[in-house]
This record gives sequence, structure tokens and C-alpha cells, in this order.
Amino acid sequence: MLRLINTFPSIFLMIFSIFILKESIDMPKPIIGLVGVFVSPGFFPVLLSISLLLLSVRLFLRELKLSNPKGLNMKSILKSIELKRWMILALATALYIYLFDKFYFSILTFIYLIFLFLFLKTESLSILKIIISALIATFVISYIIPLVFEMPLPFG
Amino acid sequence: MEELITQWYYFFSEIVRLILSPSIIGGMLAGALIGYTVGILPGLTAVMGMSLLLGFCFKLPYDVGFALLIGIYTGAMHTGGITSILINIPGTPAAAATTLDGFPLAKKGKAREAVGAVIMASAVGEILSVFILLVALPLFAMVALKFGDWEIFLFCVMGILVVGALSGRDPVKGWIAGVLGLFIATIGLENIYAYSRFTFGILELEKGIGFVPALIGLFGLTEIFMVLKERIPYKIIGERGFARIDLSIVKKYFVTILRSTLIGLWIGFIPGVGESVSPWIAYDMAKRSSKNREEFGKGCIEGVVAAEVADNTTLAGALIPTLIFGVPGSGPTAVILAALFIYGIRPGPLLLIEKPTFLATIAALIFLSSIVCFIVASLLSRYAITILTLPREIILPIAAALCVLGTWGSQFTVFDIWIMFIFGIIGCLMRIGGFPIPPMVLGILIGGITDLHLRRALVQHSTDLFGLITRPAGLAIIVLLLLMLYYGRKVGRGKD
Repeated sequence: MLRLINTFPSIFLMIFSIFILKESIDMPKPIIGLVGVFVSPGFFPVLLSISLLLLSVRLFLRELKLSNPKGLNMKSILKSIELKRWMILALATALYIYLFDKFYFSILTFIYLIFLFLFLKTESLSILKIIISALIATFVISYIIPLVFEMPLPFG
Repeated sequence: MEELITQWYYFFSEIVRLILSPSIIGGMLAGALIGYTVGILPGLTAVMGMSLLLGFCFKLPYDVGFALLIGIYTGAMHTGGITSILINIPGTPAAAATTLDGFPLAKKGKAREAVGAVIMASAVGEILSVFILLVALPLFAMVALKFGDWEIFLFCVMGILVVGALSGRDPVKGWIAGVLGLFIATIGLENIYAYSRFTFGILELEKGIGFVPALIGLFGLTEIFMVLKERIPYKIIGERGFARIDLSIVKKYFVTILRSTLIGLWIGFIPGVGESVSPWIAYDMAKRSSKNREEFGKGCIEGVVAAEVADNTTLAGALIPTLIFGVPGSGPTAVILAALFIYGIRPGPLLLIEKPTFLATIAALIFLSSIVCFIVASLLSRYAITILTLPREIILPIAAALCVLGTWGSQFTVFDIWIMFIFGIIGCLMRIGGFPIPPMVLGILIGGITDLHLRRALVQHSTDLFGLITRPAGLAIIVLLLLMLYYGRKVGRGKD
């Protein structure tokens, strides 16, 4: 099972390279003959997709042959606190980007920072310290930097 | 010879011009302070700091932008060794070899002497490397002027192959990352027929994937996510007080300094090896040739000096392929290459003709930056422990918000911020899967020119493809590639 899980990246890359190869071959060849092949927009991507396909096949065969597979352990990864922390960080950042041009930037940045500070909080950090840090950082990010670098913000 | 004398003349006149410019000195100082903080905080790297600030460089004149970026790099390199000495954790990957003798020195109660040696060796190494760069780069440029489309294409392929083979433990994964980077660079309107490739009807993709969002995502956001997902507390055990700078170490260890400078320059020149390898080689060479070899590993200043000099000279070596061939030799030079593109400066053998003072400006910036960082690191050495206690739980979320703002500043589109975010996620997945990130970055940076030069070379020689393959300069590059791969793997194994 572990051996099969380790081959996932190479299988994905093989499918991806075949898709790119098909798309590249379909690109137009403006001139007839060998020169037409060379100047075609798809010429370089064809070379890349073939290289990627060969490399991913090589990776797949090697991972399959490994007698003592190490690396990805899906069960432990899915249960790990690290993955949960990573997911929350990524989701919070995605939401921050989504609201970037829809909400006041300074308020949004303050909420984003406060959320992450509280989420990542260690015992040594007091609530007061967190609020002061978030306020100072928000002021620098939303007012000082855009002012110094003459950077217009989309909303507030 | 005439070109060399001209470059030296430009160099000294640039130093005078830069010193008299408050904005450049201000940018350098700001960079040094950011670099100092980044270098001293374990988990944060110089590349991350540089890529974070890349988005803001658009609004600065090119010399101020480079002053800021070089300031961050030199600042981080000057101080990465301080944490190696005080807490036995390298502040940057490049400072790992400094722990070997730095930490034992701290345990002997000689932390201030060791920190002083780090600051001194870093400055001396950088200044020496600048002088060598000024001699070597024009010579390489003269050779590179003989290159045509085919040779430039081969050099790009060489970059991807060497970086892919050497930047991780698995060459196959490195090459896959490099090819994926080249593919990403093909997205958008291609440069001969303006045909829209792999855009799938998304209008924003027509202009291609920007360097800035990709770099900030891969180097910045990835690092933030990967550090914050873990909780690694560390204890501070260093002693307080200013570093003890001893000028006599230059005279005492002059041969070691010179040897480490040459090692750093050579390792920097090989694409993909970079500053995380050169200190180990320099340390090993110093140990083998030292009269006090039994002291190495037990707290020997010479070991600290050897590692730190090599660490700080790698940038100059890595700048040679970056400026002359457009192939970055290391992570920091990849960011510098992206900055060159931002400012519309075309790297290549014609750089010294199109922009004759550019090399002198960069060399003068490194020279002045090493002096500024020497002063900053000396003055702030007393506060190193205070900075070390700054919680990463506070600094990194702020850095994430800066990633978003920095990307917005590059093109003022939310689409670019999403691209940065996607590259942040891709970077995390790559790191988890053991795929190195530098080859992908290199692929994104040089993909456009690789495609263009290959197709131009093939069209020019479409009636005589054999003649194209047997061009002497091209054959020389292929031989050089094989040699680099061979020696690079040897060096990589030595590091392991």
C-alpha cells in the first residue's frame, strides 16, 4: 500500500505530461516542412512534455521497485496536527486574499493577524501583547508601506 | 585589459556616487537591518526576505532596489552564524558549518570572540570576492560574446540539469521540478507568433505567469507555511555583550581566508550548489591544512573563519553565470535575476556593452553593503539574543500579509495574489514530496529565453542540423556541463 502511495506524484505527473503533449501537438504549424515544426508554438512544450513523461516514468518505476519504501505515510499525515495547522493557515490566507478587494484592507489585515496570532499563540504571549502587535503591524502594512511605496489599495 | 581598467575606474566612481546618495545608503541600511533580523531568526532565510521585498522594488530606482536586496543578503549572511554560535542552530542554512566550532567556543565562554570572528570574516570575504569578481566577470563576458542562439540555449539546459541534479538529494525529482518550471514559463502569449499557449480562455494568463508572484509564493509563502505548521521551541543560552572584533585574525588566518574565498567563488559559479555547500568544503580544506587540526570541532576560531568567508563569497561567484548567461547560480541570485527583469535589464554577454557601469554598480553595492553590515552587525551584536527571543508566531503572520501586499504592488491585480498563493501551496507540496524548489524557480526565470533561442537556432540551421550540433563553443559547453555534473555530485556527496 505504502509503495502505491509513493507512486501518486509520478502517476499524476505522467497524466499531466500526456495532457500537455496532446495540447502542444494540437498547436498550429504556420509554415509547411521542418522549419514549420521548429517555429510552431507547440515545439518547445512538446519537448518539455516528452522529457517530463520520461522522468515521471523513471520515478514511477524506481518508487515501485523500492524494497523498503519510506516517505509518505497517508494515515499519519491525515491524522497529524501539522496538517490541520497547515490547512487552517492556508484557508485563512485564502480568505484574506478573497476579501482583499472587497473589504477595508486595514480592518481585514487586523482581523487576519489577530486570528493567526491567537491560533498560533504560545503560552508566553499575552492577549495584550497580541493586540498591540496586531495594531502596530496593521498600521505599518496598511498605511506606512502603501504611503512610502505610493501603492494604491483596492478598497480602503 | 582596457575593459578591466575601465571597470575598475567605474567601480571607484560608483562607490563615490553611492556614498553620496542618501536614498541608496538608506536602502542598504534598511536591507541590512532586515537581513540581520532574517539571518538571526532560525527558519527565516535570506532568499525569503529578498523575495518578500521584491514586490516593493518596482517603486524604487534600480540602484536603490538592488541596494535593498543586496543589503538583505549580506545582512543575513553576516549574522546567520551568530545563532550557530549562541544556540547551536544555524540562522540560515549557509551558516550550518559555523556550528562545528562556533558553539564549542560559546560553551568555553568565548561567544563574543566567535561572534566577532563571524562579523570580521564575513566582511573580509565579501570585499575580497568583489575584487576578484571585477577581474573575472569581464573576462567571462568576452568569452560569452562568441555565443550564438544555440550556445545560449545549451547554457540554459546546463543550468536546469546542474541545478536539478545538485539542489536536492534526488536528481530525477530536481529535473522534474526544472522541467515543470520551464513549462510554467510557456504559459501565455509566446514570443514569435504571439500564440496563446495553455491559457484555457483565462484572459489574465495571456501575459504569462509573473516572476514576482511565483517567487514570493515559492520562496516566501511556502517557508511561512512550512515553519508555522510546526512548533519547535528553542532555548536561549548565549551571553550578552558586544562582539569582540579582532582585526589581527585577517593577518593570522590570511591563507585560510584566501583559500575559502576561492572555494566560495568557485562553488558559487556552479549553478545550484550555492552557499549551503561552500562553507563545508572550506571548513574541510582548512582542517586538512591547518597546524591546529586537532582543535577543529572543539572550538577553533580558524574553523569559524573558514566557514564564514566561504559562505559570504559565494554570492560573487554566483553572480557570474547570473549576469553573463542569465542562469542564476543560487537562490539569492535567482531573486536578483528576477529584479533585473523587473528593471528591464537584460542579462547576457552584451550587458557590459549595453549598460557599461552595471557590474561596477553591483560590485560597489556589495562592497559598501559589506561595510554597512559590518557596522550594523557589530553594533547590534549585543541585542542578538533579544532579537532571537522574538516569537516566530508574531513575525511570520506579518510576513504572510506582506507577501500579499508585495504581490499586489507588482502589478496591482488580485489575480497575481492568487497566483502567489497557488505557488505557495505548490511549494509546500513539493517540499513534502521531496522535490527541490530552486530548479522550478530557475525554469520559470529562463523558460522564455530557452524557448526563443532554441527555435531561432534551429530555424537558422534548418538545412544543416549536424553543423549546429558540432559548433565548437557548443561542444565546449557540453564538456563543461559533464564536468560540472561530475564534480558537483562529488561535492554534494561530500556535504552529505
